[in-house]
Amino acid sequence: MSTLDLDLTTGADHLLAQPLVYPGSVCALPLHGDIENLATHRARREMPVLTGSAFADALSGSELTGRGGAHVPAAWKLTAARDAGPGGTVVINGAEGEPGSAKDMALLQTRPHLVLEGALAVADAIRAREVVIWLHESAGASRASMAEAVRERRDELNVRVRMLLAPEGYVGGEASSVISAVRGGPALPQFSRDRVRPWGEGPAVLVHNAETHARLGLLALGANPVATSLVTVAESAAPLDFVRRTVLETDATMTFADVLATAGAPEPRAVLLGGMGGTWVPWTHLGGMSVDPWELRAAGLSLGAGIVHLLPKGRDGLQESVAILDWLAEQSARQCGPCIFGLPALADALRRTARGRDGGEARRIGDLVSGRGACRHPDGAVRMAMSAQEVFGS
Amino acid sequence: MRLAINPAACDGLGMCAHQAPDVIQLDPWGYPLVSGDELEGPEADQASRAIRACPRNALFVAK
Ligand code: SF4
Ligand code: SF4
Repeated sequence: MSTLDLDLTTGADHLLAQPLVYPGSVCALPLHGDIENLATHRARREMPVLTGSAFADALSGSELTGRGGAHVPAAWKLTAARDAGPGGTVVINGAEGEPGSAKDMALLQTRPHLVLEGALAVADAIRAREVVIWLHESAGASRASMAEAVRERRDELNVRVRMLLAPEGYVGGEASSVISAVRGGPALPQFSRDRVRPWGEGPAVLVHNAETHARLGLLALGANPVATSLVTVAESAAPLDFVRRTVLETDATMTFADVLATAGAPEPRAVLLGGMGGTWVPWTHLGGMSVDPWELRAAGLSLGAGIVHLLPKGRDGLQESVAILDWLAEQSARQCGPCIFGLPALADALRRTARGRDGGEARRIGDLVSGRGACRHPDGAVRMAMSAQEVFGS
Repeated sequence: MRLAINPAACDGLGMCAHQAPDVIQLDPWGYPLVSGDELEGPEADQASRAIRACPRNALFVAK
């Protein structure tokens, strides 16, 4: 990981001073000086921190949406949580299940106080009882930096802050899994079709990932929370074997070609945009596009969890997608039939497509499986498989 | 009425499709396909029977 000089020249509405490089798939321990401590964090503040309804009003006036992939407006969730009454829980979801992503880890490790600032502002606005930091047991460096940040603030906290350990795996970071675990249940996705109020009855369990909390923190500090987007450029030596992940901050003036140049990554054949359940896009199509959520949406694309997963030239996109589907099938929480049986069937159908057979079967299975799980895990797998057929099919 | 399913509760044994053959088809793995279309008359009656017959309380009326 590169060193990070956190001085006040960093833009007030920026999250990272410079790109952070994570070699390998491990969670790198930052150099000690990289962690922004409480004093440095405080020195950035130009005005009193927004709290309570002032914070809620500021959020309503912003265009901040969740940065985990579902893109629900943060203001909707806050309003629903306020309406649910006091005594709720605010969760900092740091259990990224996407193996190609490192952005939340980067924030938890370098800007723990900004992440905490967002969570505390939300907790105050909804009169929550506690803040839960949800992290994988293996995320040693993130756990250490967050624990230290909480310790630095312990004399001024007026809510309980505790850390809960998430099981490893893809769906442990799914918001409904987190809600269930916070309430003492299993960390498995729960059935709910309500994206704004997924906790159901009773006091809110309001879950945002680390990037969203950091952006809520910017808002609380009076900065623009949506000036930039964080992306992770994920380079692999073989399917699912990530050897270098670069987290960088982008804005709409940058093209994807600029992003790759900044990350120092070679031009790929195609990109899987958004995460394992994202969409394949040929590089010839994506390279010139801006990293602009609106422009992407107009093209039927989404930054999702911000992952720019590169398929190097010379690697077979269908084989790659089969490997990803096999992995996604393994990651199923094994609760819903269409996911348990449908994802392996979809993987087999795509395997046959990769061997040159007709792709009609994969589409038929995709249609059968999509939308039929308790969570959106199968939908992402189907989306990825269908885009693979489109981009790499003959 | 519209029928809905909690896929995480469903056991895939297909009791519902017996009770509501005109409303619920089973997928190749034996799990019910619930369309979410508005149901009336005999179809709504079948759907109500399926809801009552489901041993896992996986079926319900969509709001
Ligand atoms: S859809 Fe798949 S991953 Fe989601 S809850 Fe059901 S079985 Fe688990
Ligand atoms: S009866 Fe209930 S548990 Fe059985 S297949 Fe139908 S919905 Fe699923």
